[in-house]
Amino acid sequence: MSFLIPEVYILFLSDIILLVFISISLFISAGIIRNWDFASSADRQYRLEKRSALVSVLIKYSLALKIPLFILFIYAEDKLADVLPGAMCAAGSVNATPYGKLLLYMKIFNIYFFSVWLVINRLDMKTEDLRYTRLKHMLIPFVFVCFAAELTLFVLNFAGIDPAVPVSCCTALFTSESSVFLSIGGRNSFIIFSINYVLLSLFFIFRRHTLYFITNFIYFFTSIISLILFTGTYVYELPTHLCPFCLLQGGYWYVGYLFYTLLFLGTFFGVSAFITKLVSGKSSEYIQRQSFIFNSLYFILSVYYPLSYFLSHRTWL
Amino acid sequence: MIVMDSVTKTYTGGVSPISGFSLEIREGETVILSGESGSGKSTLLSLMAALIRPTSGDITIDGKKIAKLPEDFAALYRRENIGIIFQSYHLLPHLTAVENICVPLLPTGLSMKDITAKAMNILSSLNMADKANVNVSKLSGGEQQRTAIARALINNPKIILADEPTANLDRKLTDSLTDTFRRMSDEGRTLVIATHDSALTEALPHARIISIGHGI
Amino acid sequence: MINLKLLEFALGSISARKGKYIFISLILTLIIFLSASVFYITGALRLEASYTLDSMPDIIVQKQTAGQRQFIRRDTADRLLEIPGVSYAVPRIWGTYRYEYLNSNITIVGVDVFAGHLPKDIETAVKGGGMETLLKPDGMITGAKLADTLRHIYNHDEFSFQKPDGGYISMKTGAVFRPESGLISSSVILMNQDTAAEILGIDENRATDIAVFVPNPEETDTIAEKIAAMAPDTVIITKEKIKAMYQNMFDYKSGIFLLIFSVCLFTFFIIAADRFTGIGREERKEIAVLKALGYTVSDILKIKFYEAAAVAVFAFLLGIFLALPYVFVFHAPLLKNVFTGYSYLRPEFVLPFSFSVSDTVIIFLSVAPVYTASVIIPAWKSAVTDAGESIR
Ligand SMILES: Nc1ncnc2c1ncn2[C@@H]1O[C@H](COP(=O)(O)OP(=O)(O)O)[C@@H](O)[C@H]1O
Ligand SMILES: [Mg+2]
Repeated sequence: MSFLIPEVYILFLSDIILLVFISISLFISAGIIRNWDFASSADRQYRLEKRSALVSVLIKYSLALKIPLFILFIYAEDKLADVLPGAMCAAGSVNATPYGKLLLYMKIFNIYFFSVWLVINRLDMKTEDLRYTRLKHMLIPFVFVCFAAELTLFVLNFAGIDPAVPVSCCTALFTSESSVFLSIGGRNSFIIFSINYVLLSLFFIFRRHTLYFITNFIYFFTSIISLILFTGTYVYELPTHLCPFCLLQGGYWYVGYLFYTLLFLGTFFGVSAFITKLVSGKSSEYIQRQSFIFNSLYFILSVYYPLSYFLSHRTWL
Repeated sequence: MIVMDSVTKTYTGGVSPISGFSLEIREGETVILSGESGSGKSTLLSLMAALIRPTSGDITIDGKKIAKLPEDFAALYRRENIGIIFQSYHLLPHLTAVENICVPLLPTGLSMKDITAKAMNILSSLNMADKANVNVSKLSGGEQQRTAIARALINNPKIILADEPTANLDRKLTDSLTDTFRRMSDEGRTLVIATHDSALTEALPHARIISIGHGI
Repeated sequence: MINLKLLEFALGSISARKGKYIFISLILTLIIFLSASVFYITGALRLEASYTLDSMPDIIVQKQTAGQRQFIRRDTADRLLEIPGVSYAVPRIWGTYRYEYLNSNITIVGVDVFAGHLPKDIETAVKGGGMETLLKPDGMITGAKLADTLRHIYNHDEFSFQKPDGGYISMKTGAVFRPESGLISSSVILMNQDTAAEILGIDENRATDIAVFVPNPEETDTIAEKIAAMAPDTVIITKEKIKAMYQNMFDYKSGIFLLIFSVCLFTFFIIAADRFTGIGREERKEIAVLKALGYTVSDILKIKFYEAAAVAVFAFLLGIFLALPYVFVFHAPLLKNVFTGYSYLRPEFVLPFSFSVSDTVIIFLSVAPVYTASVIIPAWKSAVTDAGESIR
């Protein structure tokens, strides 16, 4: 029934449109995978080149829509929390069905995946012989599968939400649910995160691209864990408030959006530097640097909150 | 400068105006492609500008192979090297003369101020400065052509391609056009002019004439 | 990122081909206007509802037998006060009075000025000099808008109520109160509790319902259960339940509207795609020339998207600009009827001004994907026009 909530309905409608975009891409890609022959001067080859351009446009605009729609998704979950008894923020409504969390992860993954696809697309457009066209179209079936999975989870999740059933609030979720996760402890999680950052910096300075990529990948997780267990508590100024979503609310100056945007940009550029190296064999200093800059800004922001708390209160939480 | 090596172009309908065609044009040379209507002059110009791709054969400009360039590379190649003067000018009717001339440089990183300055320079050199802000649909045929020439020059191209430039001109305008062509040639540009007008051929005595027609 | 020179060029080509864009801009404006109106109406209704909710007690206890509402015994309140966790319980006397002349209902609220936990609006009225009026048996405090209406009809501040037994009671307006809610302002009269009971025909030891206040919201549900066990002939309404009901009601209403709305969108999509696809010979040639002049596929795409974006921005601003006065100045004639299913809302209700940025963003997102979809393929089609066509 929650489909009739305007936000959810708009998300659904938009996803259907994206499904059409991606299905068209899939259809075109199938033709390109089978018939691509750059050396040919046949009309068919020219037609394929033009259609290939359409796929680029479709995926580009799918991503351009997916990013604001992702924010709308979080907003809708936040709003649902008002209706669902017990929920204080999006954490509660995301956990209202077993699919909510998977859906969230899938949405994040797809944003990365679409972005990576566009990185390869860019590399391809830069070669005079369109060297990676076949490769990028071979990825489209996977794009399709991932998106279809996201859409399925979306339907299962929102069809399954029952406004009468109470859900847990965020702190309850993060203190009871995953005890392994919690047993790390706030301070330890921050230490792990800091070590991770130091390694990242070293690999950046000494240009160890593969190692940078691996640490960048781990950074995504350590940074979020430390955000929930450590930095977040300083944002809330409450040691027991463990939640990655409340940060996004106006009460905390929407600072969550800054955290997550920096983290996305940093890790995304890290991944795309690696993909660039992997596909073209050449490494791009520029992308690598972008990645390091954003990851560093995230780190600084994560340190800023506890530090300024300490300076003004002369004590740690 | 421009080398074509046994180039064949077969259109979708099966027509092959150019087949096994070879040619070499040196830098700074003025070349007139002469031939009947339908002999393949425009097709040759299109091939040199990478507007179309040959069915077979090689085209090399300045050492760069352009026969198989993907669309976007072809566009950039034109932006950097080629100025085209179309038979019926193809100006954008809703824009003024100077705006039309600026069009090719809009996608570049240059500022609008720089582009307009360039355009005004070229317009003055063609004695058109006073018509700069007139809508092109209000210009006379000769003025329209000079606007089209100015547009072909704005990217300072090494190669100028002109398709039937005298088709819509009277005697007097043809004379001033040949002057302009001579000036471009003096500036060191390579000119390729497709025409079946013998008056133009006579007015450009230094030009190399290549006749095309069936049987080449 | 945005190439301003190409943007200007795109704007130029829109004004050169106005005919092509006017129709589509108008339809898009209409759709955005509709969507915006719906969101603003629900936003306003939600705000109106929150006024009601703010002044509501945590639990309301009503008597019901044989499926019929009955007046509840006033002394039930004393029994409820004994339940641990209940801080205050008070009988309330209120009800609707049918006023045939205006073909509408007036809500009469009996006020005990010495009771605690009065709703905010009433408390303001009492403290703002209404005390005296409410202590008099024939004094009343009228909502500002209702006072205007009555003065219009009678020219003086007196009004006669007919009692259930046929007799009349004449009341004088001693004061006017100005609640935030337009609905309350236009329909509520406050008066002495005894007089109210007389007009509404409520026995001396009975009341309309009993308001129960519970300081700790987490206890509300347990207390509600206890009340149900103690007085089986009652209906118990908690504030939470009403809140959720309002939320759902508004959401579902606008959801149903959105379903209809998406049919419009789909139609729009067909029209728009058709309009954008139909590039004429002349325009095709123009694009071929641009490509011959060195424009890449993405340059042309940019121009096409700037054109589409310009149309969208224009329609969006115009749509919002029209929707705001339509909803908040003219109170959404016609469209409002979609939302008047609620028993407590009468035709004369007005919409309090409530403009929210997030609603506006959502209005944008409700149209953007469909619009993009209608533009994208035509834009690509023009962008891949053969450059070779320029020379023919
Ligand atoms: N795009 C095209 N598709 C099919 N046939 C074409 C096309 N362009 C030109 N032709 C044909 O090729 C021949 C040469 O045309 P063109 O190069 O325009 O000759 P010219 O410029 O010398 O008049 C003509 O027979 C013409 O009909
Ligand atoms: Mg010709």
